[in-house]
Amino acid sequence: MPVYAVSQITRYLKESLEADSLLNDLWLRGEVSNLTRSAAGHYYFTLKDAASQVRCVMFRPAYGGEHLAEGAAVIAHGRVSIYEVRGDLQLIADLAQPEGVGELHLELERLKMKLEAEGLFQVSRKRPLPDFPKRIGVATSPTGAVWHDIQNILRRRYPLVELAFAPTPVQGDTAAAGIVDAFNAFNAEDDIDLVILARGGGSLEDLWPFNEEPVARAIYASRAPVISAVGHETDYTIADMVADCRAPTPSAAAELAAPDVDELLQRIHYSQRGMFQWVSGDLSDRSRDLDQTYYRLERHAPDIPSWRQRIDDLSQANARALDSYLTLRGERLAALESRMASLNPAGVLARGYAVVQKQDSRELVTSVEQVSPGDDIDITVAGGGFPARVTGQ
Amino acid sequence: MSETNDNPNNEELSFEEAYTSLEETVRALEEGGLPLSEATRLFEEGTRLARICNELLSAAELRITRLQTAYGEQMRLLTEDRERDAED
Repeated sequence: MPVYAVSQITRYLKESLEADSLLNDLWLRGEVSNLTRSAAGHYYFTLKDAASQVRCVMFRPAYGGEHLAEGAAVIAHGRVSIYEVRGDLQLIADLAQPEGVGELHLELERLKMKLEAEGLFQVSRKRPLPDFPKRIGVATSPTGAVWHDIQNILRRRYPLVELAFAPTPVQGDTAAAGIVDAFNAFNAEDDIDLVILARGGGSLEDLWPFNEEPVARAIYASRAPVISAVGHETDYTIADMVADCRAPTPSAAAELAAPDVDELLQRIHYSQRGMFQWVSGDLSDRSRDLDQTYYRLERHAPDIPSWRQRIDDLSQANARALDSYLTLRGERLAALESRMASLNPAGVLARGYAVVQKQDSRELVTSVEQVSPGDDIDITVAGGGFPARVTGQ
Repeated sequence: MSETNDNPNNEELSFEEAYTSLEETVRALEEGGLPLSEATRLFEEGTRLARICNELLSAAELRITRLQTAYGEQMRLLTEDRERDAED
């Protein structure tokens, strides 16, 4: 008969409980009591019904913890285990929902919790959509309006693109597999740069495939960024949360997928006009600069006409000066001539004067002391001369 | 801009390439400080790119291809069955 230590048996219980497939994935309904919340954000409470109670712990991040309240009727999900230190049986809960929500809703909340914990919804991994997609993969039903709407919108909006259509059922049991298959087909193509996953409106059950885990994982694993457009604006599926971009409706997805050709034409037109304005503005700036430079050059250049003018002026002045000089000289010459004429001895002789010279020395006799009686002298008068002798004094 | 975009005979640009080059060209012109010959060359290049963009946009027609999927295959077989039934 073997005898066990307490810790051996608590360990055995723990392992047995955790190996039980019912107990390790359990939905448990009950009323909340003895609720406390630790400083670290973990919840400790009891779930009870009329006959029994079970200790529960819910560690952070405690999805749905806001539904826990003293006396609240809830459904908790988790696994049953033994807290070995005290030997207490407890439910380690990971999700709480108010009682009364449907089974689909519970499953949805649980999958959301799981995928969020794995990081599938992280904003940081959402990829930007291409500005000018070349080939868009479209996964939707081949029947129904959605596929036609997408074609029509993109034909009008951005006909440069090619649509790679992967038909798939979008409701019912085969839909999730069909969508996964469509994503596989997109990933097998090497040039698909955007994927649209779309479906028209419907009930929660109709939209259910878009809440299934394989679909979420296919979207997450898609090589190209994914726009999801499932149902109407108010429908929010897990596919929407994993996708890189959520469009409120399939038509909106087609509009988000590509730029609008009219807008592009307008932008090109503005570019052209902008370039033209810039270049002509630049040219007129340059031409104004050139004008100014030429003006400056002109101002500093030697002023040939004015020099020419000055030379002209100077030469005229010169000529005038010469002229007046010559006139002046002419007048003075005339004056001199008349003075000369008045000094001409011949003129004097004509007036009756005579020139007396000593005969021997030809010395002019201008004074009486120069001669003595008996000296021979020559006397010149107008019209000729004659010898003479001094006879007295 | 890459070498190929500078080639005035290269008309095999995709819309994205032509449009991106056009935007770059306009930006380079607007930044200014270019020699006149370079500005003139860019203007000519930009005009050519705008023309290519306009031509690509106006000539485009939406193309649709259908990818092979298990579901598509199923649908095809179903349709054939129905047609065969109709013939019988």
